[in-house]
Amino acid sequence: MSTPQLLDLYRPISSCVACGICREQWRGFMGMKEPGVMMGTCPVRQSLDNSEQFDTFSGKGRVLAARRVLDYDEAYTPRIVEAMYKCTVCGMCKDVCMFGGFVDIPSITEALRHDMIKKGVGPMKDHKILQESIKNYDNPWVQPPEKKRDWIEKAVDKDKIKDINEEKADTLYFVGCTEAMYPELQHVVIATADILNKAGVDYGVLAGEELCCGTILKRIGDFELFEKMANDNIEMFEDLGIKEIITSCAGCYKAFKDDFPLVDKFKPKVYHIVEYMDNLIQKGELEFKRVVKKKVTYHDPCHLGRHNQVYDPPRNILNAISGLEFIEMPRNKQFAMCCGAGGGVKTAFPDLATDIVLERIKEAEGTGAEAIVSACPFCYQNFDIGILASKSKMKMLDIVDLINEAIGE
Amino acid sequence: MSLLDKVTSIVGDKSVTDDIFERYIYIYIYIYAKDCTVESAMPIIPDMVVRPSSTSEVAELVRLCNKENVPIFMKGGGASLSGNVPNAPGSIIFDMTAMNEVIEIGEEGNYVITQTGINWAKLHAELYKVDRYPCFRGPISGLSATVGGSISNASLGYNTAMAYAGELANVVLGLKVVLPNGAVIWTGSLANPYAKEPSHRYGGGPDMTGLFIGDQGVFGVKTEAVLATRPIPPYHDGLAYAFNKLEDADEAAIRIVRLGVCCDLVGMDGQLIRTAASFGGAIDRVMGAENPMITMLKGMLEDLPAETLKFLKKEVESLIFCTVEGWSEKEIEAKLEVVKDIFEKVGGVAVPPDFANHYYENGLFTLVEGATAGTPYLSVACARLPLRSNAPFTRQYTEVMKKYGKKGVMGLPTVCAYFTHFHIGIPIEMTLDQLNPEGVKGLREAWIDHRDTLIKEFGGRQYWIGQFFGRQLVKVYTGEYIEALRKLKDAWDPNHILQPGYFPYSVGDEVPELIPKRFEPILSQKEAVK
Repeated sequence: MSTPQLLDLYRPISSCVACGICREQWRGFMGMKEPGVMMGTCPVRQSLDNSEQFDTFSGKGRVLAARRVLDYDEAYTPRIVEAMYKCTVCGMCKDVCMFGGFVDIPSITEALRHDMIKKGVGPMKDHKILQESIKNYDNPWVQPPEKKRDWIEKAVDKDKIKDINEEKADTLYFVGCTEAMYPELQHVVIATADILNKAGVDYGVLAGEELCCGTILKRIGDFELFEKMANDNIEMFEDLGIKEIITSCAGCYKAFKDDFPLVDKFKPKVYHIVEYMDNLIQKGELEFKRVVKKKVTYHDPCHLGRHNQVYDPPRNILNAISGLEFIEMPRNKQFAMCCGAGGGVKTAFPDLATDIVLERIKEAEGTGAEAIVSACPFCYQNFDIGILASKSKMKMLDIVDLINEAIGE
Repeated sequence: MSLLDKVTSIVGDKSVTDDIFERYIYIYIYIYAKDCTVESAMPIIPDMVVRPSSTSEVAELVRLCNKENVPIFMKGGGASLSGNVPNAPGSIIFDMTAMNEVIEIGEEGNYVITQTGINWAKLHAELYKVDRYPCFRGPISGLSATVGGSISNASLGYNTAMAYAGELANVVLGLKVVLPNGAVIWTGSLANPYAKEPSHRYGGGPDMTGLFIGDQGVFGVKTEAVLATRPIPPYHDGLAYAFNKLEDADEAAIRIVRLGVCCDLVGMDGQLIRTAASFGGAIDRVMGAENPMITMLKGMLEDLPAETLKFLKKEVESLIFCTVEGWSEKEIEAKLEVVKDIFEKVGGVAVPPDFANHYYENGLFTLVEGATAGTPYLSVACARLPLRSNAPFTRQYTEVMKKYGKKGVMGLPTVCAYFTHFHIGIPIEMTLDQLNPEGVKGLREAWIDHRDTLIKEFGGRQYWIGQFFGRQLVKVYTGEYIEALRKLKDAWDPNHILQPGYFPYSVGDEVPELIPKRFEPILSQKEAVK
């Protein structure tokens, strides 16, 4: 296995000085632009009652739990298993750590979860449904694989969408399971294909032959099944001669960009749609013709932002749309608060995921924007639920919806 | 009814844990002890961790523990560089960070009443909303360190406003304390039940507040504190000068401190400057080329005249930066003129003041970024010393590092802050490879060597007391002094419920082994993985 396991991470684990600055970080000093704002903190910890916020719910706690296992071979307790799965692996703790990323807390947490699975105490009950579904249906949502091509029938110019299995193309638009299979998210895929068509990109899709990228498996610590999925995907991409991959899912992007190269040589260039569109805009190959009169704020998906530093492309796009008023939330880019959906939290602890997103919605409302824009299906779903639960007047949008509207016909 | 049930009945089931992992997380300390099990003085895992959320809960818990003879250990931010960890079996840790709210900001009275579990960064953030800052701005670890923990350690700090505000002890106006018998008292002006607001620390008999400053928590559990604050002046500016002799740098600093014109005055080891000026070298490897402090130093040195750069690369032994605050531009100009005059008379070479301004504006965050590195073994020995001893102390440190360099121990550059009557320095000793037992042994020897010289030759003191330094102090302080403190503790806390075994009761001199035996299989396994 080539994905780093717990023992492989011993050095970063043992380098944590347990200083605790990953618990919360406040900005308020004279040089800070956003005084009085809690800039960096564990979203899970923040959603707990103050009296429950033990250090366990922090980067420090997760690293020291790993340390306890490695140094003492301590048997996992149900409380620690649950605590370690109550982490969205958003990476805020890693980013605020004074070791500048050397103590890779999300990877350590995933490796700890892998160890829990090896020892028969992980993952959480609801994660097992995802695992079984991926094994049996190539998607985590217990749906027949052919459902993945349903969206094509609804696409605007479906004739322009090449089936890459039949017609060669260097560029693959990889459609993720969640966007393709959830009816309320299919508009993202449809809009993405529409944008690529309008931009004249020569691309193809796998038309339902997509395998799950396995990102959720990596997040919950099922490295064995993740590596199988990665290898199957890599083999398929090689057979099809794919040179670049575009995805509109931040989860797939994270898997291709960060996780696959750990498993095997991964040759295709990987772009999130926001990067691809930004490149076209910068090169003058794409123009926004329509005025979009909206006031929006942008939520950085963790896998796109903190994990891969894709901060500017979505902002460049939003700023390039005429009529659009874009307002940042106080916590943005590196300090953007996680929406709460990631790392398997939404599956195993849906109430916790909602509690977390409610906090983020409040922050978004504070900007005076009418809509929250993001670039990740998991963020989209969680915000949608949160908006409904809180009866917020805000709307949820994927950035491709805005791009498509701004391009026009 | 078990103790856990009794504690639960006070704080509720969500605020207490007896999970082995969670108890371990609370006693893990990094410096001097990679593992928490070896030797009798090392941490002993507590029976439970509790997060009280009010003074009344703390008082009830203390009364319970006194009745049941259960030792209590307090935890603030929890970095515990001094080894603030349980050393008695069957104990309870109070995680004080649930008590983290600002209670009252007195703008006219220049004070803030805050719960002690608040960290310094949050306190700054709250005060910033009304354009104020605490006169003591927190220790270097202020992003995590709490006000309560800092008071218990009589904290100093590298943050701004130190040169004229001095140490934390000078700005504590009163404390709300739960005594070992569970009684709750206010010290300072709020001891008067008719006081409408806190205004002064002294006047109600002896200085009761002082008893709890630097007490390591042995005399009481501090739950609220009154700290002096001041408005943030609208103007500030800085100066930085490099010196080719440490002694000259000290001379300039001492003259400036006497005048009381600057709010911070910090000296940096020439090694750091030389490295930054040379764009590479050991510091880059250790700290990482992208380390913000090095990047900033490099940036500020980039456009210097060739002659100045040459001087910085080869000859500089120290760089001092100084910041002044003021209520008008004229005030700033006048203060800078005075400081500049002193620097130049002593032979300093001016360098751009960027770092001084960055340091002032970012305070807490500056040196946290810079003073740490991705090293698995690190041993710090911050010291309080008379002003004039900075140069000889730094030279001694360099010698110690040379001596142990062959064993893989590498010394980081020192940084020192000059106050009104003393300075603190952070010499950091480190070894780069945790898999090198010789290096770890050397690190330990270097630290002991350095510590002994600090105390015996320079008459100084380590910054902290804690488990490790406390033992050393018991050994070197006079018997009468220790005895007096012990009598006080015995009378105050007859059952030794609060932080038992801490100074003045700590004994012995041994520093535990850094790599306990049980590490070895893990390390061999790790080697095999390689």
